[in-house]
Amino acid sequence: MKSDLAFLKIKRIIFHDVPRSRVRESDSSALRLSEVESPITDEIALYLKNRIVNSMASSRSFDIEFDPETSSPVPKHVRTCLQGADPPTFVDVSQNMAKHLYTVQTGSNPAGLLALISGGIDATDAVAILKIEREEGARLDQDEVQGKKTFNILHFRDLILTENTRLFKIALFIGSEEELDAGACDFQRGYTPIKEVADFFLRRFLGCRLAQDPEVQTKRYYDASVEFFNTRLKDQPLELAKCYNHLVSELSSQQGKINPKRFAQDYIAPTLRAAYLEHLAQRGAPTASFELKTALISQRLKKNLYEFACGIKLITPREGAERHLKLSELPGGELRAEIRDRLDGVFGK
Amino acid sequence: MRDLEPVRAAWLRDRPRFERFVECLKGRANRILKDGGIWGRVTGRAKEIDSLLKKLIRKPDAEYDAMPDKAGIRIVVRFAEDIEAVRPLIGAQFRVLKEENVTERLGTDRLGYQGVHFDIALRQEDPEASAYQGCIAELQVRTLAQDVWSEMSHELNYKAEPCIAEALCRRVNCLSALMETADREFSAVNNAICASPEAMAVRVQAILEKYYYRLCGLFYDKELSVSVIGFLWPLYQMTTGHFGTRMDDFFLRQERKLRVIYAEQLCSPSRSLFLSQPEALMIFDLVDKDQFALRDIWAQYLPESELQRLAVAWGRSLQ
Repeated sequence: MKSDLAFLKIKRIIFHDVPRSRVRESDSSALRLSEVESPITDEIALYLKNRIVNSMASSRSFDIEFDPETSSPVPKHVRTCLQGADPPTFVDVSQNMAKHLYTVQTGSNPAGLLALISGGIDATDAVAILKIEREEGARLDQDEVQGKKTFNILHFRDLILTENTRLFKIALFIGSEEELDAGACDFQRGYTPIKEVADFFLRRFLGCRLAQDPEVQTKRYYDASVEFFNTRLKDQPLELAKCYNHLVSELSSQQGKINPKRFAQDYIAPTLRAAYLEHLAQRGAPTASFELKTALISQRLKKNLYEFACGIKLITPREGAERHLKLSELPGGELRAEIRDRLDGVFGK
Repeated sequence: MRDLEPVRAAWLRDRPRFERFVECLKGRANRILKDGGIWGRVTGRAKEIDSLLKKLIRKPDAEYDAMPDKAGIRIVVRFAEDIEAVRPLIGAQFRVLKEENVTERLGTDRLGYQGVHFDIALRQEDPEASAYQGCIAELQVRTLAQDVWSEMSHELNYKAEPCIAEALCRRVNCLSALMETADREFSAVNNAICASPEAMAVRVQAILEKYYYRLCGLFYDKELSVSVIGFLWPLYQMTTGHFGTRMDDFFLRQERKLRVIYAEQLCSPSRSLFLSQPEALMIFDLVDKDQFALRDIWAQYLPESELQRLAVAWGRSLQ
């Protein structure tokens, strides 16, 4: 996200209990809805803010935008909140979101709480939506505030959204329709393909989509990474080859997403990590997690090309080349490439 | 014999307003220290009714309306040079009606109470000036050592009995000489530490402290600070002079954000313990500069959760 979340202020929260959907209960009567906001203190507001920042500023968050073709009512509700909804409207909007969540989720989606949080950054309004999984047996009691039902925010903090809670999804919207800064993060699905997040939470519930085309993002990331390796590792050919191979390996994996920060942590030399991420940002490539779609670079992932200063070009298949090709570094920045295999032919070009 | 009843009635009427005036002045005095990046302790009081009346008995010529110490503020700083740093800031913040350097009054051959006293009022342009029209206060600025001597000598009450005073006055004044020497030595030691080539961490700490006290008045753990600065310093690869310039620029750019963070997080029990350490500023800078290197080196010495807390306060996440 582009916004500086250190300035985020949390002003109010309301949350609803959304049980697992059952076929016979499609009328949403099983929902336990709050009728009024949960009173919050400065301490609770700061706690919620820190949890939101921890998620939304992490490399797991994705930039998102409203999907103009969605049938979800959530974008409309978010817009209402971003225009400074009064308390009754805020309650109303949050209840409608809870009903929509109950409607779109399937029996395989676990029971949970849906929290709508509003606040802002300076004069700009902000809205966060949290869906937190909870054990079905763990029942939360409702309190009454001015004769209306609501949930106790301390239960929420102490039992549901504790420091160790990982089972939640979150989206944050800041700004206006014209200048919206929005992101989503899914701790629950963090290690499974991103498609699940996109389909259920992002598309069906939130009515949003990823802000940038994943194919373009993947290509930009590949191009920027290769450019960085070729310039910054020019004098370390072996390291250059290793980094490139790691990049291709990551891009060819089945994990469904790439986390550039984690890639840097795992494969780039410590002294170059920050520079690598800075280079990606300068080239407009993603620095946070993004969905992996390699259609625009699929040809480049099939073979590796080694270009030597003398004009020799070595093309290797990506799979299995290491069994026949041995690379070693020589003094003066030179690279030795040894090929051991049967020669199948020689052609003029 | 003077009739004290009109004064008693007047002070009972006026004192609540002076109590509010004192709170206002304490806020202004704390702001002076923060703006100057100086550690200091601010106290204040509106004179108790008994104390006011007793003073009028002791000083029959004193006029109620003209008494400057009906409201009193005290700023206690660590080093004698801090007093010099505070003086122009007082002049900029308040309307100074009178300034007296008690030390200068003592001359070269006498010992005793030291400090700088001001009679002050709010400036006309101060937003609260109209609420405290005609209110004057006495503002005292002292070092910690001067404060100890002043408090103890007052407590010992050695002047109460003239026959005792003569015998003990010299001894108490000798103690003031010790305090003066202590102040001079503390300053000299502090300067020597900062000038020592081996004391890189202390010099960095002094740079950070200047900005830390602008944000937070809490005492910090100096030993921990030197240790943290020691292991983070290699990430900068620059001289302490360049680091000072870097921090000047960092604070200039990020002052508003830092003030928001300190105002918000400092009252939270779950804040990072490093928020009350000056090296927090260095850590914030490094979160932006190179969080990979920061994480790697931090993990060797301290719990990662504390670093994550600071990063989140800074609006970032290390995850």
